[in-house]
Formats: sequence, structure tokens, C-alpha cells
Amino acid sequence: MRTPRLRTGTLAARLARTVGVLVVISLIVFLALRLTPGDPAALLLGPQAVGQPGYKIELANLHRQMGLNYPLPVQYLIWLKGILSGNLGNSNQNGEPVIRLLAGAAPPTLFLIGLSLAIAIPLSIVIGTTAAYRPSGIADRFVRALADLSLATPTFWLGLLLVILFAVRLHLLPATGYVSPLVSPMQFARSMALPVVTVVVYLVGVLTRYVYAEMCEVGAQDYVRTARAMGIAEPTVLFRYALRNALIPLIAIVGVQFAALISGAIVVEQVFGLGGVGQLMLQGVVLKDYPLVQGGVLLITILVTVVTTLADLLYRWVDPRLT
Amino acid sequence: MKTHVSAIRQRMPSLSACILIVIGILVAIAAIYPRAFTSGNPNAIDPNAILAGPSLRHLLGTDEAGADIYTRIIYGTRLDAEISLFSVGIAYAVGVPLGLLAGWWRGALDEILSRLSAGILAFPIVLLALLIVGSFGTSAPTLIAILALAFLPQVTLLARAQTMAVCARGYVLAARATGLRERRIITVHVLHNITPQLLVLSPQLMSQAILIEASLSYLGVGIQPPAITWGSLLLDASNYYQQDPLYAISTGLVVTIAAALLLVAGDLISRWADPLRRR
Amino acid sequence: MAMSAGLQGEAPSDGVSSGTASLLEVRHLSVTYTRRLARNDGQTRESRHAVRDVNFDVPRRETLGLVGESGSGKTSVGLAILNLIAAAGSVRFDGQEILGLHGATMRQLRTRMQMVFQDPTASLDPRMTVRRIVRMPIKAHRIATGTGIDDLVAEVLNKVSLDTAVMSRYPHQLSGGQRQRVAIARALATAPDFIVCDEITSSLDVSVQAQVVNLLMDLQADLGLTLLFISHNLGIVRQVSGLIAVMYYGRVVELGQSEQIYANSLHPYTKALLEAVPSPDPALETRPTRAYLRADATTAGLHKVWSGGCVYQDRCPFTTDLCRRVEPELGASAAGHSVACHRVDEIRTGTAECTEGDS
Repeated sequence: MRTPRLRTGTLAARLARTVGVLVVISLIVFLALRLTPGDPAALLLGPQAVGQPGYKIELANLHRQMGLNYPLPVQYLIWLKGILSGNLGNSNQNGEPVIRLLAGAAPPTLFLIGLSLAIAIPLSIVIGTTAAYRPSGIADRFVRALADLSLATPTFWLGLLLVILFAVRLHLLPATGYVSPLVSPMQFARSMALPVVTVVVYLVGVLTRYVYAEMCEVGAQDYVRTARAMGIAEPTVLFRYALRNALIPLIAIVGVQFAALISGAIVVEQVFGLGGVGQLMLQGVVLKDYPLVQGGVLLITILVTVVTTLADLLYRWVDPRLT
Repeated sequence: MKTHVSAIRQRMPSLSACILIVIGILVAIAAIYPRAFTSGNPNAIDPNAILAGPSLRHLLGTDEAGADIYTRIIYGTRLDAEISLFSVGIAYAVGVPLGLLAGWWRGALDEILSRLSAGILAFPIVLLALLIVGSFGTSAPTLIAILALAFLPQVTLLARAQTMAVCARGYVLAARATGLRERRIITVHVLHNITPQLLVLSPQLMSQAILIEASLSYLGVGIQPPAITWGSLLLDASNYYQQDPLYAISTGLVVTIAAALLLVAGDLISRWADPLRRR
Repeated sequence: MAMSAGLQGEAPSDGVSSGTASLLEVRHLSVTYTRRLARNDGQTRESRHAVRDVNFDVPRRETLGLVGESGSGKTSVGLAILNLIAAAGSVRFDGQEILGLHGATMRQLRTRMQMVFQDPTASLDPRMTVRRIVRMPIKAHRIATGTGIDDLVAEVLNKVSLDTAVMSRYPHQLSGGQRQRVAIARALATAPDFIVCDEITSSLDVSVQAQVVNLLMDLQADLGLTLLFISHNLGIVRQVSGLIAVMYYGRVVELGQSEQIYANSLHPYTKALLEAVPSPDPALETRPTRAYLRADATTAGLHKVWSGGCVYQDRCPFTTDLCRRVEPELGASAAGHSVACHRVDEIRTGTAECTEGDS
């Protein structure tokens, strides 16, 4: 068959664009950090220190120590330099490096996202294709209504309903908590079941819409009509002819939806007390641990950008018209 | 003649549109004058009924302090309506002009706006909210600002794409040939023709606003009590789901139904906008 | 935009008509499209001449038919003349240089020069009524005020034989012919001297084409219009135009009076075009059936970048080495008739031999 290849020009342009986006992201995070009302140094010393002898000198020293005496652009560059060398700062709470805290909390979040995607993508393909089998038929209407409903349902509320049903009423699954697969694969599966179902329902709602729209569009193309006209059975037409081309945009859509997926995962892990990155960050907000929050936001946003770029590149690589 | 009749029929609102409009009016009344739907006080406490189930006195039961849940839902309408309307309104007020200019003139402005939009879109909205709330604290204006910021790139990019599509149409060139000023072409031809497509997005964004408000409230970074939003009710309910599951179910249903109705409204608008585009 | 490949320096001094009588003088007109290469994500650009060093005049109250196949650059010529796309060279309208004009001066001038586009479905805003469409230029140029605006709208609609009842209709409620009439009415609203008609009949049914063409000819006679009539349809051009310019691949290859071109065409491309026009009565078909198009000719040549020599070399049956090396200039062959071909004398006398085999 064809040999897909990427032109170096495409790659370079994409990467240049991604770097531009990363600069924008770092600026937003940095400005949120610096434009915060209140003096971080004063905050660190605490309100009880105000008015004590030597407070002013101590404050000035701390400013110098934290680099706050430089103009904003210089501060930005210093901050950026730290980030580029992998230093996201230390937590205010216990002085631990933010990056280590984040790495520790990452597994439940990554499992939640990964498992949900692995289930939701094939599921939405099957559902979307079935709905497109006979547009404006009963299955079609039903599936589209369900997809709309899943988009309108607050994810955490759905999680709550599942907990009420499966944990509180039926005592089938644990309501909260996360067990590492290294400790007990069985317990891991039980602890992830409800969170993953919650995220999958949301994801299937999003993705089915695209698969459905794409299938309807591809289904109206001449080459698919030709296949029908030749008398090829409808399921074969859909899955062999139409689906292949409808799948390509799905890659891009998963990339675009990745940011929203992270949002959903953060809320869901809170519902099920998985102790992941989202919960860590929430703790940071409550305890006003700015380095943790900002470091975490920056890291996750960079992750999102990288995933989006990769999805985009993959999309172009698979679609011969775009390379 | 036939085209005339179908044109009239096209302009007639369908039954579902009528129902939606009626619901919209009812919601507006609830937001502006909640007393029209309930005589109770949302903060009145009934110590004899704490987390009580539905009864004639308390249609949807009472919360953990003994306040009437139905009344609180009605009173929560206002803030939710304000938040969704203002956040989407601000996103449109800023995003549509930006997208128009970027799509019309392209060049450096377009490049900068595209990068900025991509940068903001890369933020998972909950994280963006955490970042801003962590810095500025929680309040209705902050929440509206967060939502407007999150919606802004979507509106800008849509307006830009639609402007570029319209600019490629013959009538824009024809307008230039007749000697129209650029400003007139943008307002008369371009804005007029992209409005339906822009409108389709607005109910979707409003439904997102309601859902995100609920999520942020649930995470504890939403609007704080004593202010009442549907999200804050849902947060309360989620704390007592074991004792009173109905509380969580009823408040969640309110949010879901509101968001779903807005999505349906978006579908109706897009169906209304579509034949105009295909023409 | 700086370019214009300079193989040809001189304007045809012995071109179609004397300069002073002409409403429009086009000299060394070149249009280059810079196209972002989609595959390379907008970073690399490729530029291509759509029009290269084109010269012609349009005398007052006359019609110049600009003929060529799609991709020959004829539409670009029309747009460049109205300063709607960037172009190099010179376009003088009533003695005034137009290229480079902008702002109020150009807008003012647009009242005198208008355009009717190929597809009225596209060129009329679908969300405006006919009244509003025709009002736009009137209001933009403050040609009438108050109730005078609607009177003027009715007047121009009458000129194009449309009932004033259409005023409240939307374009999609009209027939194709009616829509094109509205487009013509809009062009007439500013009482122009000059109208560019870009393929105005090609989107219409054949039965309606004649109506629109007749309407245009009546209008020209009544209002004293000067027209640039762009078309690929030689039959219609012959009906409308006193003068004809034949374009191929961004160049004018033959220019002359209508009768000269039809009776005595000299450029192989023009001959090929004329042979392709079906005769209304096959019995009267007396033309020799000689191939003026190479048997293996394709339009592939149109898509490659010009690299010197005659633009028609790839399709011409008479191509020689000279044709491949040197681009022929548009030179006078008879009074008011010019051709850009090295072998024009041989072709005239019928002694040109095919070189088809040895290419």
C-alpha cells in the first residue's frame, strides 16, 4: 500500500508552532503567579511577623532571596531557566520538589485516563457506526439522544450515582480508594471499575458524536455509494469502506479533547478518592501551595500540548492528503 | 409559490422550539423573581426536618440544615443564569471582533491570536480555574472571568474560520467591486452571514458553563456559601449521599436537565442555520 | 509585487486602436499568485504567473471579447483591471492610472467601472433581498438619497427587464437568469461607463444565455457602455464583441477584429479553438479538417511553471526549436490584427509543416 511519510518541513513547522504555544502557556502560568494580589514573601513570613523589629529588612532579604527584586521580564527568564532544567520549585508545605510529588500522584490519574481511552475509543466507534447504519432510524435517534445526555450530565454526579448504586446499595464495589496493581491486580480492577466507567460514559458521549457525523459524511461519498451499488453487504460497506476513512479524524479529535479529558479525570478522581494528581493540586489550592499548583498546571498543560501535537502529527501521517 | 410556502414554514418555530422558549421564559422568571415559584425562604431552617425526604411541605425534601431544597434550587437559578449568560456574553463580545479581524486581515494578528488561542485551549479548564482561584480566590466575577477566558478561544476561532469561509464567497468580492468600504463589507456582509453559525455555539457554551460551575463547586473552588448555585447544592448533596441519596439525585437532575435543554436548543439553532448556509 | 518576466519589452504600438480613443489601456499587465503550499504547512510558497505581460486597448463604446480556456488567466485580467487583485504593469482608465490606487480615489472610480461575476448565486449575498443588494452601491456612493434610492432601484431593475416585484425576494427565490439580471442591475446602479462581464452566461441554461446576452447588447447600445466580455464560449463572444483577444496560459496570443479572427485566424491555438466550436449546420461545414492541436496534447502544460519559449509549445503541432527557446511577441500581421507566433507567415500561406513526430 502507500508509504506514509512526514515531510521534514511539516514536522519543523508543527514543532515551531508547538513551541509558540508552550511560550504562551508559560506566560499565562507565570503571570498568574506574579500578578497574584499579595506579596509571596510577606505570605511566607506570615501575618504575625508584621510590625516586629527587623521585619522590613527580613522582607527585603527574602525578596532578594526569591528574586522578586528583579523586573518582571528578568524574573520570567529566571523562572523559565529553572523550568527548563526540570526544576518546578519546591512545595510550600514540606519543601519537597513539586516534580516528585506530582510523579508520586501520577499513577492513578494515568491509569484512569489510559483505561478510559482504551475502552471508550472502540466503544464509540461501534456505537457511532451502528447509529450511522440507518440515519434517522430508531437506533440513530436513540444513540444521539444518549450522547447528548452524557454530554449534559456532570461527570462527578454520574460518579456519585454509580457509588450510590454499586457501593452503597449493592455493596459490589468499593466507593473510594485506589489500590496499586502491584499490590493486588484484583483490588486494582475493583477500585478502578467505577471511575473508569464514569469517564468512559463521558468520553463515549463526546466521541460517538464525531464518529457518527464522520460516518454519515463518508457514507455519502461516491466511493461508498459505488460499493453499495456493487451490491456489497451494508455491514461490509460500513466497516471496510467507510470506517477506515472515518477513523482518521478520530485521532485528531482525541488530541483536541485531551484537555477536557484531564479536567474530567481530575473531578472523577476526587469523587472516588483515588489520590491522583487532581487531588494533589486541589490540596495545593486549599493550602495555598502556589509552587505546587503552578508547577502542576504547567506540567500537565505541557503534557496536553505534546499529546495534541502528537495526535496532529499522527493524523497527518495517516492521511495521505495532508502529508 | 412552493418556495414561498416552505420559506414561511421554515420561519415558523417548531413545537419543540416553542416548548424550549416557554421553558426559557420560566427559567428567566425564576432567575429574576424566584418568589413566583416558591413562597419559602431559601435560608429558613426547619430543625424538625433535617435531610428529610420529600413531603407536601418540602417538595424535594430538606438539606442538612433543614432548609427546603426546592426553594434553594429555585433561588440558585439566578446565579447560574448570570454566570452562564455573562461568561458567554463576554466571550462573544471579545471573541467575535477578534475572530473577524483575524479572519479578514490574516497576517501577524492572525498568527498571534491563533497561538494565544491554542495556548489557552491547552489548559484543562479545571486546572485553569485552580490556577486562577489559587491566585485570586473565589467569587462570581472570578468564575465568570475564568469561564469567559476558557470560552474565548472557541468563539474567536469559530468567528475566524467562518469569516475566512465567507470572505472566499463571491459576494464579498462583488461588494468590493461595487466600491463598498471594508468596514461596511465586514459589518453588512461578513457579520450578517456568520451570525447563524456563531449563534449555534452559544447554547453549547452556556451548558458547559453550568456544568463547569457545578464541577468547580464540587471541587470546592466554586462560589462559596451563603451564595446559592446549583453547583453548591450539589456539593452539599454529595456530602450526604449516604443518608439522603434523593438530595443528590434531584439536584444533579436539575443541572443535567438544564444542560441538556441548552444542548437541544443548540441543535435547533443549527438546524435553523443550516439551510441558509447550504443555499 | 514585482515581477513581469521581461522577454517582451514593447507594447504593441500597432495594436488594435489608437490610444486616445480608448477608454481602457492595459500595458504590461502581470498577475502573480503566491500560493502557500498546503503540504508544507504554509512555510514554503510557490509563485506562478496567472497573467504575464498582457497588452490591449478597449475603445469607447466597444466590446472586447477575452477568450481562453479555464486557467488561461482571463478572469485574473478582469479582476486586475478593476484593481481587485494585486497586479504589476499599467491599467489606464480614461487616461487615469488605476493600479496602485486605493482608498477614496479608487472607490470614487468604481462608480464608473463595475463588474458582473460568473455565478450570481455566489456574487449575491444570500441573506439580502434584491432591493438591499441593489441599494448597496447606491448608498455606498451616495448616488441617491431618501425615496430617490428606491426609485433608482426600480429604475435599474426595469433596465434589466425585471419586475419591481422581485425587490422583496431573496436570491434563492429567483431563477438563474433573474439572478444574473439582478447582478447586472447592481452593476448599472452607479451608472458606469465600463463593465467587466466575467463568464456571465456560463452558469446559465442555454435557453437563458441568449436572453442575457441580448439584454447586455441592448444595454450597451442604450447606455453607451464599454465592455470587457470574458468567456470561453466563442459563439457568444462572436455575437457580442467587435474585438477579440485570445488568451493562452496568461498571454494574449492573438488580438484583432472579430471578423478577422473568425474568418482568418492565424494562431494555431485560435484555430484549434474555432475548430472545436460545433457548426450550427453540419452541411455548411466547409472548413478543412486539419488538426491544430497535437494528437497527444493534454492540458498538463497549463499546470507547470512556464520556463521560457512559446506558451503553446507543448500543444502546438508546428513547434520548432525556435519556439522552445524564444517566446514570440505579439506582432502585427494585418491592420488591427496581431499574432504571437513565429510561424505565422507559413501558417497564413498554408505551408507550415507539422513537427509533431520529432518532439
